[in-house]
Amino acid sequence: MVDNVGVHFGGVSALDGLSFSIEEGQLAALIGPNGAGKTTLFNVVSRIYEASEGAVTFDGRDLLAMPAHSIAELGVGRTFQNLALVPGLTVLENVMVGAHSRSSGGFWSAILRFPQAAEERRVATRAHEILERLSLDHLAGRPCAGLPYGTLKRIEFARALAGKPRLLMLDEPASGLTHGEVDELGALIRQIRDEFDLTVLLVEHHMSMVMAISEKIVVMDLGTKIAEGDPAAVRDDPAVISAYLGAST
Amino acid sequence: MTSTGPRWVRYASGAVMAVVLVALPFMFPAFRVNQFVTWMCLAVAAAGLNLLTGFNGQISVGHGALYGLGAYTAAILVTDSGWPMLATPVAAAAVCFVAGVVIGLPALRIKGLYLALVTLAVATLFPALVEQFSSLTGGSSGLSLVVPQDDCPRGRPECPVRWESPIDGLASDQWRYFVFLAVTVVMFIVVANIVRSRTGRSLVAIRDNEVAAEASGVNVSRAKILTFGTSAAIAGVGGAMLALNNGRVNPTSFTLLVSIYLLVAVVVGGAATIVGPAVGTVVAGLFNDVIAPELPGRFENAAPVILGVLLVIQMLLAPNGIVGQIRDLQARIAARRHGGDPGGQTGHLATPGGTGTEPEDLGSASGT
Ligand SMILES: Nc1ncnc2c1ncn2[C@@H]1O[C@H](COP(=O)(O)OP(=O)(O)O)[C@@H](O)[C@H]1O
Ligand SMILES: [Mg+2]
Repeated sequence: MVDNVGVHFGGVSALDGLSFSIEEGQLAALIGPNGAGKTTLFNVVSRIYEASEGAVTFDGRDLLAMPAHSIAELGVGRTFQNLALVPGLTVLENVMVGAHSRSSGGFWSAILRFPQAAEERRVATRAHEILERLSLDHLAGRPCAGLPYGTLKRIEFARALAGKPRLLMLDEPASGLTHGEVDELGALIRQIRDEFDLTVLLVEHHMSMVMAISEKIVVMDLGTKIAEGDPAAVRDDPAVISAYLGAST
Repeated sequence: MTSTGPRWVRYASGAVMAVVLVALPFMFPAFRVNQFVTWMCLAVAAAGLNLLTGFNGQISVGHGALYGLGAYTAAILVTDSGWPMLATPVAAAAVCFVAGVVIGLPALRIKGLYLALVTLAVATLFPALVEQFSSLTGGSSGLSLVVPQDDCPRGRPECPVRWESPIDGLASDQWRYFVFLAVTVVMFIVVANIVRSRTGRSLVAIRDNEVAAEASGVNVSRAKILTFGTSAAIAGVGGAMLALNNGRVNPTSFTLLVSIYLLVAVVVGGAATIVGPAVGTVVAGLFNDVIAPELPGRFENAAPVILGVLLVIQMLLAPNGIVGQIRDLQARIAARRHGGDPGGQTGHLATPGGTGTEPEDLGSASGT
């Protein structure tokens, strides 16, 4: 899926010849110390960053040839490490924005209102369902501003699901959560993957969660892959251990 | 977008507003009623600007020019091409839509202050353009609208625009008031419908977080351009209304000051609220047309300064504008009643430019 991708900022190589692939339906984790390039990869896939070389293939299509706004429609959804919600909209409306690529209607039909009424109801109903599933529906009418960090991350999760993705990329969904909540979220991600038929690419620093739910782990450091495999194999890999020890000192 | 207070409050305030609007022309002399109609024209233009600046976060200091373009379009079509008067706002909308799209093109590359500068240039250029094409526009002496009518005085085939009331007991100024009120209400409903739709949500998403909007599948460039066009079209309708109301157009009516006036109306009334631009226009109109002329002679020239000071005070006390402030207050009361915390300052739509969540993934994402 990801083939030899490179991203360079000035002299810094954020990604350097990164290649790996994940299979349909897999719950894969992408881990590595801070600055390894995990978020950068997400941004390449979302077409926010331009890759200077390499290819990202999803479903046989070259994502890097697509404009940024088409990525959602192709079935790739994501959340952001540093929250990218819309503070000017309510929780429900944020989730409805997530369904943008799965709904229709422009200026003209909006002016008349009635051509979109049924569609609006459908999108709102589905947004409520997703919020319900993530135990957020009681917040539907609230503006996003002022809600706790963990809740906002979960709203982003809901927004991404509203786009009916087949590949969902989660960038540190557990940050700001307590230990108990992290375990709960891990279980939830797994359930959601099954219920929504997703392929999940998870970036997360909580190793207990990563080890517990991932079927495959890709370990990165300094923009390159240093290990890849199932949780047990990766845990004992000497390169991984040294990268993590090196990073923490 | 978000419900503003309990339903009965909304219905009650709507009913009160409707009664006041209907009663006004019966309570004031004709020259005041005429002023109210002028305010309606400005309010429509401000509503158009609000769609762009309030909801979509693109600042335009050039909407006075689009307002003017709409006015000239209507004037020329009525006078030179003999169009029926009430068809001209539609044509003005079309012409201004195209102009808005063209002006909006640079907005794809530039934002904020730079965009303000480009639109500022448009605003300053407009009167010069009018002079340039004087054979069409009448140049600096302006253009009087004339329409073919059967009953023109002294047997001439054409004469100035008149608003003859077809209803007994309704004076012509009152009749005109209601015609223009109907157009104004329609235009505000148009804006409200856009804002409360999938399109409207995407506009706010672009304003607050472009990256997130794009990742959700919003074609940001396309939406921005179309918003510019639609906003210009609505301002053009306001301009056409003004031309039909005044019966003449002058380049001096569409200077940079008008652009600024429209921005003030949006900000004072409440950016990114539906009725904010109307409220702001009324407040600014009250000051300019009602209070300022009453100032003692010594202070007459000080009117702009006084308005400026009032603006600063308002920015300090109610930065979200009058309507925005009322809504925040309602939200706070509702939150208290439900026992929850008020959620800090309720972000809502009233913060063009967006607060908080910037796409920090774009910055130095050191990541934690
Ligand atoms: N927009 C940017 N401009 C310059 N450098 C960047 C930018 N985004 C990321 N980087 C750099 O790329 C490297 C990888 O960052 P990132 O992908 O955020 O790491 P991770 O998510 O794995 O913690 C870091 O050295 C970071 O400073
Ligand atoms: Mg990161």
